[in-house]
Amino acid sequence: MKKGKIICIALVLTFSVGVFAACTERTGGGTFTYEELMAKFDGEIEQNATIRVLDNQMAIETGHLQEVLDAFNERYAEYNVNAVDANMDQYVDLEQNGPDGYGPDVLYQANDMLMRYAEGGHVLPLPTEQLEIAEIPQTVMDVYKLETYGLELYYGMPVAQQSTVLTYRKDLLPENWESEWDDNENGIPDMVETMNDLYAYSSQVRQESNGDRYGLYMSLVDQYFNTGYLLSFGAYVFGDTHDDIGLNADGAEVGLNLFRDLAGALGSTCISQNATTQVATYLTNSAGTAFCTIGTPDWLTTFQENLTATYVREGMAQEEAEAAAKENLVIVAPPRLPKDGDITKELTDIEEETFAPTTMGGVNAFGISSYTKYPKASLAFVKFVSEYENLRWRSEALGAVPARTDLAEELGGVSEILSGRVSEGLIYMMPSTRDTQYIWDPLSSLFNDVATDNTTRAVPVYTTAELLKGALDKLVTDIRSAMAVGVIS
Amino acid sequence: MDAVKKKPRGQGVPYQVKLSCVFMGLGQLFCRQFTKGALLMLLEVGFIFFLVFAGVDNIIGLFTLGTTEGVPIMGIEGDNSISMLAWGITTVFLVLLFALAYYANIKDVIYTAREMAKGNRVRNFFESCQTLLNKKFYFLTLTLPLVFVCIFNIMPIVFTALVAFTNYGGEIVPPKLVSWTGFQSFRVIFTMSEYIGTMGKILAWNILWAVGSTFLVYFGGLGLALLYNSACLKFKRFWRVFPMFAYAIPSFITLTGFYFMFCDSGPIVGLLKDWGWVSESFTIISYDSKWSLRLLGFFCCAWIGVPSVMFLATGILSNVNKEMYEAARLDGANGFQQFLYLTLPFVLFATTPVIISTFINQFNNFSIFYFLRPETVYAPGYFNANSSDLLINWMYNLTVENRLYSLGSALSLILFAFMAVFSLIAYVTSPAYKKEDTYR
Amino acid sequence: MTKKIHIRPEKAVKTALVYLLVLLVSFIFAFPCVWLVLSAFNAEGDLLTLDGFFPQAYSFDTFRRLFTEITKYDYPRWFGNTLFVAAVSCVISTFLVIAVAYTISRYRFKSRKAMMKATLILGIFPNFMNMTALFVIMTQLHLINNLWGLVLLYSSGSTMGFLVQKGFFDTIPSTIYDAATLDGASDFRVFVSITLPLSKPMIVYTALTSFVWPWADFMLPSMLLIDKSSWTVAVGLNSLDDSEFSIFAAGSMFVAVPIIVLYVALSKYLIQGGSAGAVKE
Repeated sequence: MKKGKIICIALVLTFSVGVFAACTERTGGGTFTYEELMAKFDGEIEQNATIRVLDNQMAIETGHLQEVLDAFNERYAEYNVNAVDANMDQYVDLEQNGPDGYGPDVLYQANDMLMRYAEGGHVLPLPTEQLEIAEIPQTVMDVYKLETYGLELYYGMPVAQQSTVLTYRKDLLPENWESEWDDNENGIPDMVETMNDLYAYSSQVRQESNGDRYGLYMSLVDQYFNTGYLLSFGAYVFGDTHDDIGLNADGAEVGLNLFRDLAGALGSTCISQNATTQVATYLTNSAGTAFCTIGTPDWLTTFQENLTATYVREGMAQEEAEAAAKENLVIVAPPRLPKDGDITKELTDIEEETFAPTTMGGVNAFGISSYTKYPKASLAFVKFVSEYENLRWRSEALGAVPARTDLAEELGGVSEILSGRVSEGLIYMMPSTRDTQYIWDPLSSLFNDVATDNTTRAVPVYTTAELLKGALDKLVTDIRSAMAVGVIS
Repeated sequence: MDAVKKKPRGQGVPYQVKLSCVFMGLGQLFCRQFTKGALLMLLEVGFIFFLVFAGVDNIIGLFTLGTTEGVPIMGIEGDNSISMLAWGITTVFLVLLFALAYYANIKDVIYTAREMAKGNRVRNFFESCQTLLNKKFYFLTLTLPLVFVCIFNIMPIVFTALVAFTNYGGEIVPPKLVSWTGFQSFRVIFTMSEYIGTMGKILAWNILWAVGSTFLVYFGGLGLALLYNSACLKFKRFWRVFPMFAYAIPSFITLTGFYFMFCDSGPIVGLLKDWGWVSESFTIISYDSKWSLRLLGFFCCAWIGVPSVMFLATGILSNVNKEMYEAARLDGANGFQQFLYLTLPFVLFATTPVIISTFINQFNNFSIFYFLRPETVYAPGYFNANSSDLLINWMYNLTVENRLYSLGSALSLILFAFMAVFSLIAYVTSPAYKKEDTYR
Repeated sequence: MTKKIHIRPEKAVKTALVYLLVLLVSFIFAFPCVWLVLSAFNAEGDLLTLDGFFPQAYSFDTFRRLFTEITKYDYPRWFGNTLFVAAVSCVISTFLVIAVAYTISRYRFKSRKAMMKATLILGIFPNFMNMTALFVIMTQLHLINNLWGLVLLYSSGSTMGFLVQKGFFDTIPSTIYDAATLDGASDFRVFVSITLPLSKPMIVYTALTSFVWPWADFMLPSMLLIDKSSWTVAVGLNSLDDSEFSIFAAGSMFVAVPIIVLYVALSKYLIQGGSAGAVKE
């Protein structure tokens, strides 16, 4: 029992002293000049460096990453550099694993992630004068800008742009589309041109096939794809300060209602994150389960591969199948939205009644972990992958839309569509700040809630604009509390 | 240390004891136990070295949690509050352990001195070792497990408990310095409407779940055991293979399998719709499904848990005194009466600990709803949780998904206190515990 | 039980009812397993290609992919890791648990009751409630990405479950020990030559349960294994997309089947061991 007493006293002491200890003086990091910050990149590449590179799943599965690593190792053979696949989950947390040395050295991430790390000091500011950034639009570079020690520093080397586009199967278009589904006679099928026609077509396909097939198939809970409907009708994420959250701005409820209607046409199987990956099968199987999807352009490579495989299984020769797959998978800009937000009605004048939507976008970049032992070799790798030729290689292998405008022009197709949308200001770059992490879960809950409302809920709740507005207000409240908790915790 | 004052009756404290109080092993040396004395002295010297080179810093670190913030982008390491916390706790453990060793050292020398006073021969080192092997066999077998348990079970609990009193988590993660904030996390949990509301709802559901699933699993298993025990059933061994499946398959497979079976695109929902038994909007696992998913949870829990109780009950039933039943039958008791008055009391009595442990396991059943609702979505009215989540799932969401470590830790402390009180009362009042020693 | 040659009608009804119930129960337990096995042979990968409950076309393609598409799912490696962790933890935990349980059951010493009570309280605190703490401790010990780290955790974790085995040892009458001790056998000899042979079912039970836990666990490896090459099957299979349902089913088969075979083969010991230890008369 004496031991028990001693332990008790020790614990009480621990706590009381602990509380006092909170007052002890602490020293911050101080400030540094640009030269000091960049000093670690000066000089020859380290000998025998091993750098772990974290790339996305697609680059690993297609074997592209390995080829790049091999090419890089060969070029820097004299330094005996060994770049390897980090072999970690794509979303491994640098904040948690980096300080202990278990994170990657070079990482490929979207701007919200990479800049979250930048704010926490987990990734290095890059010496932009050594990188090829002249052809990257300033709007894209800005996404990676963060003011540190009074300096404007860039924390990522932008490689690919992300936003939403619509991909459809040309061979699944109805036979009579030119007479029935091209009211404005511009040669573009209406169901991939306007949301109203897509809605009508999706409902029709689902009805005719008794729910087995889909017109549009996409995840209704993907925050990234669906926030565009709110943004198109006047919403914004953060205003001048982070206290100003504009996702419930006036008009956003119209967008939310549009989304709710759309959910009704898609059905409950789309209320799942899995729909995003599922679509790779649906859009390309022989049954033609889905006619089109809205998503990021880098899925195209996977779609093409799958469709080729399907065609081969149906008896085509390999080359013929490849050509047919390329021909039949068409990417266009996301469908135009009705100005009044009502997608259930039939349009009479497409030009007059609709507008090009705003979609959320992001920029993927390579960054270097602060915890790397080999900053010079890591920088060499970043430089290597951002060379013009290697960027083109990446775009061709993975279907990524390059951040460089000259390359985008050269590649044409999707790249041109997206670049065009960027320059027209139709892409809302997701905010590069730590606080962005707090918007995703509440947004996902909102989309889940509203999509469920028009599909599987027995008694729908969100039947009026006021109620939808209420849902948006609640979204903002939720984001606020998440931010508040993040600060006090 | 207190033991020193307890003087051997009728005489002063032997000088060896005083010496051992001053420095470990010194007394033993003067009792001519040279090897033991030297080893003990070496231990103390080692401990002093440890204190000087690391221990003191570690303890100071435990209080300050770091004073210089690191700048990773400049490669300046700074203090890592979290590892300082871990090493601080370790050092406190070591100090306590050393105090224990010191206490043992003094007790040992008192014993030896007394023996010497009686004129007995002093045991040499070899003999001491033999005593250890023989009389204190338990000391040998328990040391390694105790060390393991200290490092991997007690340390994490102390760590979690202390984290609850810091501001670790959210924005405050290394390289930022963590500080002690007293009861702030608890204050947040009990004052922020999001938390207290969510906690109330989840706690109510959690208790309902624990009671319901324990009942289901326990009586399901008992019923099944009785069924398989029926005299008229042939090939018992064969039939028992089927529940064995459920018992053997890892639960992550079972639960993911059930998720696939019952999800919106799965066969069950599809077939029910095809047969026209349910409306087109029917769903079992959806974003805000509450009772459908909860009921599915009960079903899966029974599927997984019933077989283990069944096998247990089968073993117990084979010990039942057959003559009692014969007597009861002769007295005219029917099958149901036999069950109610003979089987049930016997089995219930024999398996009280099983009921308690089932209850605890079900209360903390993390995997059921983790696998049945694989996507992290939060329902309206819940903060970072969904309507089917148990407290443990909520805690997971807070700490792993949202990295709110201090809040999660505070929550686990609350949960722990709740469970500890409950199960200790249940266990101590259980007949099995009371009768432990009367059995032999 | 009295023997009756002719069957009474009520007894026939009862028998029929029992068989009906047994059949129903067997179906409930067998069906999901059969379904999962058949899904593994589904020619197309995902759930929606099922026709009702069953695949439209069967093939061995998923198994081929499981073992050959190493860049996507390094199944052979995951399997090897799992086997290693489970086998080593099984040996260490069995040894520790038996030793601790025997000690606590056989000896009376000062902190014995306190230890049992402490075990009980600690048992309430499941390992992953301290996820963060465990992660921090494991990083300090440099045991992240290290299978031995898992082995340590499982071994120490299963030691906490010694109460079942202790219950079993309690049932061995102390008279046996007294006789042996009078003959001058040391404690260690008593343990080896008397206790161990008597407790064969318990040892089999302990070994089996301490093998199955690491074999089937998901939480600890998912937290401690960052590097994909150190993943176990549970982590690997759970990282798959929903559209890879067939791969999941196929991968699960190799995890579940060995355990089922072991359990069925050793069911006698399981029933004896589990009930002998967990209960008191």
